[in-house]
Amino acid sequence: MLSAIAISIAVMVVLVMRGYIGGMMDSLFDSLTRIETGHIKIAHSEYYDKEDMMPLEYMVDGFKGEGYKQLLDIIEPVDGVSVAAPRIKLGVLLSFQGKSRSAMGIGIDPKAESMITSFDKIMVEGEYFGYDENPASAPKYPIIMGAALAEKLGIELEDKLTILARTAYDSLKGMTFTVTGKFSYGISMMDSKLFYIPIRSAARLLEMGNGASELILMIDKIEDAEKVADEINSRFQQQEGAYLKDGSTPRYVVVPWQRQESLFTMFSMVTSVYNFVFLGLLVLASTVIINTTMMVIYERTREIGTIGALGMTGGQIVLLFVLEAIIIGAIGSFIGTIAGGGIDFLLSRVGINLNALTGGSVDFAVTDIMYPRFGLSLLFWSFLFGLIVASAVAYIPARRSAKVEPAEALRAV
Amino acid sequence: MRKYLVSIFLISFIFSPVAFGDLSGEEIMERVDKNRVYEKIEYDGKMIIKKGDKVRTKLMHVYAEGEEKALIEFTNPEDTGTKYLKLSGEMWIYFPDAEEIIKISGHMLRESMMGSDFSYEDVMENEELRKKYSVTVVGSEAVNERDCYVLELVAKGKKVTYAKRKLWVDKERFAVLKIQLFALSGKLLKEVMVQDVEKYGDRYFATKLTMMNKLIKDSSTTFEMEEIDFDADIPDNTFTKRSLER
Amino acid sequence: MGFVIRFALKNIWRYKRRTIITFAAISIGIGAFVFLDSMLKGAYSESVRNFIDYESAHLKTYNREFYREMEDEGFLLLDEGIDDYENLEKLIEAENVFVAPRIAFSARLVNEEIGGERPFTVIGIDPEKDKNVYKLPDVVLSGRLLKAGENGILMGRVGAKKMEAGLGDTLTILTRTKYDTYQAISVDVVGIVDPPNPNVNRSVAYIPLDVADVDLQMEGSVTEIGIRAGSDNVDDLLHNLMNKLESSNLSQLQVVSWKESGKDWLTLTKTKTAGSYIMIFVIFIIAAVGIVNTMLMSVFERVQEIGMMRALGMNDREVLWSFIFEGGAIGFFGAIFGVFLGLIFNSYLIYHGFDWGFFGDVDIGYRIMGVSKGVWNPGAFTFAFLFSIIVPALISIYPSRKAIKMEITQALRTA
Repeated sequence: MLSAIAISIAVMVVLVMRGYIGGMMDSLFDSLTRIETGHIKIAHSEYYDKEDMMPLEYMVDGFKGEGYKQLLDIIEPVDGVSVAAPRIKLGVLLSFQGKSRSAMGIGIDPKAESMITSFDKIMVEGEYFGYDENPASAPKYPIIMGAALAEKLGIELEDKLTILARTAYDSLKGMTFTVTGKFSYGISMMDSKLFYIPIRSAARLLEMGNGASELILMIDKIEDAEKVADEINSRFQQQEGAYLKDGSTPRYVVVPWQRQESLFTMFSMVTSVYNFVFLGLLVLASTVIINTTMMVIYERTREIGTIGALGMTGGQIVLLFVLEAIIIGAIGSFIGTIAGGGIDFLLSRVGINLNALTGGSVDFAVTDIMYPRFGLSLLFWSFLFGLIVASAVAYIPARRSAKVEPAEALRAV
Repeated sequence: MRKYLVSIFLISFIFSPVAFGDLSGEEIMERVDKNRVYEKIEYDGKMIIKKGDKVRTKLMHVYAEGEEKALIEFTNPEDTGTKYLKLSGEMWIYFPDAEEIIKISGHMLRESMMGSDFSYEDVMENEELRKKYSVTVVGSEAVNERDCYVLELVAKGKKVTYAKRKLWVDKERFAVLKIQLFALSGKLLKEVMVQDVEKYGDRYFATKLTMMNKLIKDSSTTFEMEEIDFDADIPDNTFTKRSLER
Repeated sequence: MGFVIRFALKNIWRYKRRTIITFAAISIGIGAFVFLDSMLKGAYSESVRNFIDYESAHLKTYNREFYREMEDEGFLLLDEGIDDYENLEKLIEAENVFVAPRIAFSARLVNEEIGGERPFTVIGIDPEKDKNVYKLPDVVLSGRLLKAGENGILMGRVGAKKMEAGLGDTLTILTRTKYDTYQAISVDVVGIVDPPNPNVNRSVAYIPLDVADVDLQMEGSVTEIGIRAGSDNVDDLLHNLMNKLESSNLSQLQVVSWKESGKDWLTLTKTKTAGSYIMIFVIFIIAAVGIVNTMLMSVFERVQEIGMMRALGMNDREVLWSFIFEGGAIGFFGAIFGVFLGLIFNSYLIYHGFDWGFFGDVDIGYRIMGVSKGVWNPGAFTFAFLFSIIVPALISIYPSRKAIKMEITQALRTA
């Protein structure tokens, strides 16, 4: 029975760990897609090519200048897209009471963006943008900024600051914004440099008319990103103006996350690391199972001898013990799976508060709480793992013991 | 002895610039500056900016006085209401969407104005070049079928934007027809071609010119001036920060 | 006691298979722990290394105004440089460190042939002194380093690719001098470096200091002085230097350590490792489970034997201790082997390194590119070692106590 317990513990730990690792990876992927890459990113091909320089003049503004909404209309009926949000990225100088500071901003569509990031979870002061176009009471040009950035400039809610930016036409333009909220992602690099403004204000500031720098799409099922991207691309290609002057370069690129170099490479690297660790864990767990099973068999060598003396053939004995091992393995695995699965399930609902665990913010997390992955397939595989290892392992010692002469076996204690 | 002195006198007379009617660089610049530099001016300006395939047009109304004061108000649709004020070596900008006046200081003056090939500094310049540059005549050349002096201006001190300039000055009208602007290393940075020169009283003034960036391909800016008035009645409080906010 | 110890050791030998299996569990656990620890620490120290070696040096001296302007607004003001730096250098060198003056300025590099231009930070470096403080000579990919007085430029591999320039090509540096005069410097690409620091590789280029001095009208002043000390712990040195500057009437200067320069992204790396230690903890749990399991089994299976021993006169304490020793001994040998395994894995990491290379040429703030090597962390080894001796030993207590409590006769009857 002890062996069954040991097996179940091993399986349980494996299960929980897989859930944890899965959760970490999910969290990382999640943050990156929400903040930077989306599941699919659509941008002007020249902009995408020179993305680090943020060349605003290459904007998403329709196929013949109708504006980015034209693309959104084309995308809307496509199956699988849950959110399509336009964004304008801008590097600016913030000026407040004589002090100026460089900062990075994103012009967002408040409604669409709220479906990507749960802003209510990260606002620390004030409020997120409203969804009405021009509510009477709200300030004309609202801005929400990272708490650390506000602190560095000594800005409080309702203060007004001026943003100086290089427009899409390379001229300097300034606009005064009113601070309506402060947020904190918990990542210092973001909180001390980032702000959000409504995309209409950004377009006005940067002389971008009805254009956007990029469209960020979120998909229902992330594995389908490539398929959806292809679908969108083929619809784009049917539009007049889909190609640039040279006739062959498409005006807009539709890039699913798998093909976005920055995310993909980082993600695959992190995945390999975690998988490697998990492998190690599996090996470890296996040794426990092997350990247990083998001992069970050896301790019953005398029993084997007895049975042998009573007439069972070697083959039958082996079978008997392997069967037994399978059963014990099954029971152990089953218990382990239930226990581990239970823990996983619980945690996946409640989440592990990483903040409390590590005493500080964890990389890239959009939220402090990480939800370990829970999946039935995971359960199934874990069960199988325990079972197979136990059975496979039982075979060798069972055979060994069976070969021993009954007399000898009877003597061994 | 007398004969000797007379011959020296004769020889020097023959070789003196006065004898040939040739002017020194300084003298030429003096006349050029007389044409170029204004005490007062008011005009409608048009700036056409070309970068690769893109063309943008900016319209503005300009008031200026001497070296220190200038007010530029943009009138084209995208920039209506934006005003630039140059006052005592500083530049202030008023944007209609900003609730405060922005001061452009130091390193920001070097940025291009409105994305053109003119920097804020270039646009604000209205001083006598003789003050900052020593002028030498290096030759003669025709520009647009007009015979010109070719002048080389080398910076006298250190605080100049362009270390060296070359000017092609129309011999007849003493108007600058072509300008080349050089970096400290001697590399040619920008070239300006004057397309129209008009007479206002005694003055010959360039009213249309095109600046070409020589390092970056397909980048040029054309500047045109119309309704030029050198005797404009400019209201007293025009060159104040308050007038920016109006 | 001696008897007990020998007894414990004999038992280990007797139950070879069980011993080996437990031992395997422990070894793998330790090996994995050591490996992971090494890799993570390696990544962190690699980041720091790359930062110090190519960007921040151990310390940097700036003019206060220059530093403030650079930090807040991102501008490099040439007229707020350090004048008369030779005396300053002597003052610093008295602390037994290496110094290297640099002139850093913003410029646009233009490839006139192709027509492309991009913003770069160009740095005038002293070809002799720079190599004592920064590690550019170690990462020359093609061509050579700069020579004083030449109109040459050294570029990062990624930067060169973006400019579509190769060895021997001519580029123009477009910038402004200290007096704000336009300057255009023609330079030939004399070398291409491939530092593991993506920042530098992508957006920094180097020219000789004397050329920068003349072409930017710096008149002998520099924008920063980089300092390399004997170790990464520079807090004392920082303190000394600041005091020295005060007393030498140079309080307009400021000394900044690498920790200060990198504060934004350094905090990021630290917390990442903290999260990963959770996983290491779990490895221990599994190893512990294996050990517990073994010890339990071994005790229970030898209940009869224990009974016999007690019948023969061994007192309870001796029995207990023998099991504790057994546990500890297995742990000990397992640890030895585990450390050995760890050494092997670690050596691979250290000599071959872990390839983060598929990051490509992308900016995510971390200073890692290419391969990061593992580190020897004696602390980790020691910890693992001790853990594997103590834990099994302790775990053995529970089952042995149980066995002892049984009546001797009852124990003897078990079989």
